[in-house]
Amino acid sequence: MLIQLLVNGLIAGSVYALVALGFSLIYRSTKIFHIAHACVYTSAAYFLYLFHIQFHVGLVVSIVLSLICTGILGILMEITVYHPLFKEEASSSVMLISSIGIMTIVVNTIAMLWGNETKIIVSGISEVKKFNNPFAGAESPFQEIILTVPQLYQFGISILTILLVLVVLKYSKFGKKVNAICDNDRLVEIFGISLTRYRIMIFFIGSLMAGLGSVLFAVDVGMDPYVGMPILLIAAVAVIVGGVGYFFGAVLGGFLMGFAKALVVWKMSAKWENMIVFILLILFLLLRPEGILSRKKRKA
Amino acid sequence: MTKQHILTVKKLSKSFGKAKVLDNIKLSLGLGDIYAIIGPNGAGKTTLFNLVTGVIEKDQGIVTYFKNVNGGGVRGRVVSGGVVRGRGVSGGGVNGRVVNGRVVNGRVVSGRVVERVEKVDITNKRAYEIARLGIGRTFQGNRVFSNMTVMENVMFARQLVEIENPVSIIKSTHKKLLNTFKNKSGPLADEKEVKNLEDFLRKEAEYWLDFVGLKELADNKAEELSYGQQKLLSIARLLMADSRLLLFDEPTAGVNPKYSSRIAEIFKKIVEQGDKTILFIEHDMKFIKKLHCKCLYLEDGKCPWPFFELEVIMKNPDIRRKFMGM
Amino acid sequence: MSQLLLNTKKIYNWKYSLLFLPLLVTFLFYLFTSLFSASGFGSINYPLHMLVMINIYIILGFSINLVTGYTGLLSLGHGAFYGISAYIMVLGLMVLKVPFFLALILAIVFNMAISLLVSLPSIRLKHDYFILAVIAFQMVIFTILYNWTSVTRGPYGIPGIPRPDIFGLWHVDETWEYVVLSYILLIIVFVYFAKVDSSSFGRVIKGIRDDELVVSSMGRNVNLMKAYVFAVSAGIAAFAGALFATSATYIDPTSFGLDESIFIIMIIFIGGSGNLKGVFWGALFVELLPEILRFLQMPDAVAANLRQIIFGLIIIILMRFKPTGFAGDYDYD
Repeated sequence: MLIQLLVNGLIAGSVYALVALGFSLIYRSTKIFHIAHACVYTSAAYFLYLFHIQFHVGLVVSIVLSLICTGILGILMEITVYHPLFKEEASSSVMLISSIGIMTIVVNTIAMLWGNETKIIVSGISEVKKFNNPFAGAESPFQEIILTVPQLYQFGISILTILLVLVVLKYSKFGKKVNAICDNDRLVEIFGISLTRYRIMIFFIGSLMAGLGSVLFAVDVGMDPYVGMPILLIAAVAVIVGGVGYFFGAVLGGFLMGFAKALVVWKMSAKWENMIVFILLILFLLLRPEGILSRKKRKA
Repeated sequence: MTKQHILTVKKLSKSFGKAKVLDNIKLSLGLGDIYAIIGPNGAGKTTLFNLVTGVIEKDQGIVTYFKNVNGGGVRGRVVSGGVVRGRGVSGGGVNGRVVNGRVVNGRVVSGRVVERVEKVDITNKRAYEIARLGIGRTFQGNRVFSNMTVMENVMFARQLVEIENPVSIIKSTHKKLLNTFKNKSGPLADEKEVKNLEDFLRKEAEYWLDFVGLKELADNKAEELSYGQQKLLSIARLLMADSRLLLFDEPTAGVNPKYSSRIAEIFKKIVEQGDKTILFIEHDMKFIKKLHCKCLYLEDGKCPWPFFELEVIMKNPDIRRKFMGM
Repeated sequence: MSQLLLNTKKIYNWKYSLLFLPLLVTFLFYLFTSLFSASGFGSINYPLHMLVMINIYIILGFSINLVTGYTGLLSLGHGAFYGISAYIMVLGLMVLKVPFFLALILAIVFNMAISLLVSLPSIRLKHDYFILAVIAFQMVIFTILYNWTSVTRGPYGIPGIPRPDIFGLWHVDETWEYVVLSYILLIIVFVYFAKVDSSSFGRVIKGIRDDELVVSSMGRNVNLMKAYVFAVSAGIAAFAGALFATSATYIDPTSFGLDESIFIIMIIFIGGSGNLKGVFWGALFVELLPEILRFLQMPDAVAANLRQIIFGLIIIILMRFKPTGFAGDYDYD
């Protein structure tokens, strides 16, 4: 039983890690606590609904289209709200409050257009694949680990995307410039890097990742206009717990969140999932605020 | 009698990751003197300030502050002529003179001690605790409260710990606190015409604004002041806070020579009474020359030349070469 | 103009005129909507009920203003504090069966204690971490209120909350009596807040907002001040919860979620933070806008979302061009 739950946790964790990585990318490079990442997440699912259910476009094409739209939405947020404030050297509080404003607008627009109830993208029971449980004893009733096909997609696509993004961030020229921006964004302009362009690209990629995570879940369990905030909470806590100084920290944190939630479901019930996120956050803030992968910086 | 110390630093070291910013720093400041810290940028000067004032934590070392305490008891051994050496309230070593006391078997049984100096280990204390002991500092650039007026900025500097909490709002009299302030020796020690605490603070703030020469600008918003005027404001704040050890981080950086000489004059006036010490970081050699003070040369986190006169230090060809580059 | 007069001898102050603002505006609203409405002058109870809600949101406005507008700590958790105090009121009135003011004190104390749960681990860390901890707190409280059905009855809510009994002398029944009660509580909060505004404590917290490092280097224990402020702010929210529980006589968790927290911060971001009058204008605006939409025949289902969208747009525009809010003093810089 535990193995089944841990596997479920691993799979959910991979999606959390994906969203957390996107959030971390934006947060580390722009220093904006992009709460509106939650509504970017939500909107991807609704774009999918729009294309696939309402316009009857094929599923895969719809997914691609909705991811592009989500990325564009992220870019729009940067262009219309964040960048003008950045130019004026607005404080992070102003950015945060504006982010809340963006989120309010988008979530309520979605609720207004599509209603508050849960929507389904793919109806019917998911196909299931069974695997032999290598850890089960001879008499154990849990001889098989059962995974749904959507779960397999969630895990596979998330892991692939995470690996791709991590590799690009660490080894490519683009990634090196992104890392430079994370360290000191005003300085990079001197080296001929267009901060404006890079920020737009960063928002596109980060939003894309959130959208991908959203779509992977939405196809499985559906969505409602308010799914974004709990996910954002998980992502933000994942970034802090894993270590805010490294991109890999967000990934680590995401998986940790997945496992933690699985354990809570095992020991208590699914209703209390939010609690474990809060408890983990408070524990880390009390005992190890720099996160698992810590990185000390010199105060100027 | 030997000069009284106010601060000693032993074996102070600090690294950020692999970069060792301060390496085995040792220094000793006497009461009533002016000291300068000079050296190339990045040598660790501001880090030294941050460590002493508790803004960041040390890796190793001891910082000891010699607190001046009025009154209170002491338990210890009589050394000579009524001088007692022993333990004080904070647990640190104490030297003091006993007045009106009975001494039994070398132990002070009862008595009031005046002019007591107490050693306090401030190495691990937090920033606000260190400030309350009487160490004040300014920051690079000008950190003033831009939304408040000049007068409000200075009034702020006086700590009113007893009433700065949400409960004492309800109590409407602060007479007891007012009397505590009145008893302290300060510019208003003889003032009889004080109506309430606010009035007291205002009058004292006016005194210090006058001292630094900002009296006319008292009601202007702090952000309206020029750069040099804001520097004067930060000096006034330290004086209002009744700091005994004043740390200035680049007090004349970016100001024109008119303010530079004014600040030098103010520094001299501050230490005139012999009850305050100034330590400042500076790159402006002319300013240091005006003050004829002792310098500590800091380079790469080490202090190879502790507290010599500037001329002596400048005789060293290596240092001269590095400074010409500044 | 110096706002820091400690002069406690003066009892009356121009600031107290602000208290008439809700009365005046509500009356004008009633007048205009009745004059231009087909049905003419309706029952006075509805605008009176509106006035009670306005006063509740003014109280909540003061609560958030203290922690966010004056001290600079953004809290997206005041919906939770509002909710906790409402449920504690129910505990006091319906389970322990104590009179109104005793239950109110219980709610205030409980809120202040709970606030420590959030502030102690997070307040000395970066602002972002504090914000996250408060958001997490908000969501956990909502989860508890919604799922702990054995105690809170979850989504079914708690009906039949008894009307306030003030010291056995006054049983609050009619809507106009609620208006009076809401004003009594509002005046208590307002007077306290005005005192804080002009006190040394107020000076310190405004300094913290401006430059925390300097305040700390001037001998103030910044983290302790922040914890104080957060606790007091939670306590003030309890006044609103008490009022809401007893005037609506029915509560359920959906009134106290993240949406509500966002709504509360809108009060000061739109109306103005860092001073007294901004709270009044903000609360009036956020409460009257939906009423105006309703008057303009907007269907209820759409109106709720549209209202939020309008608020969001206003926030973004204000943050870009006038971060102090319409009538505020502090621009979050």
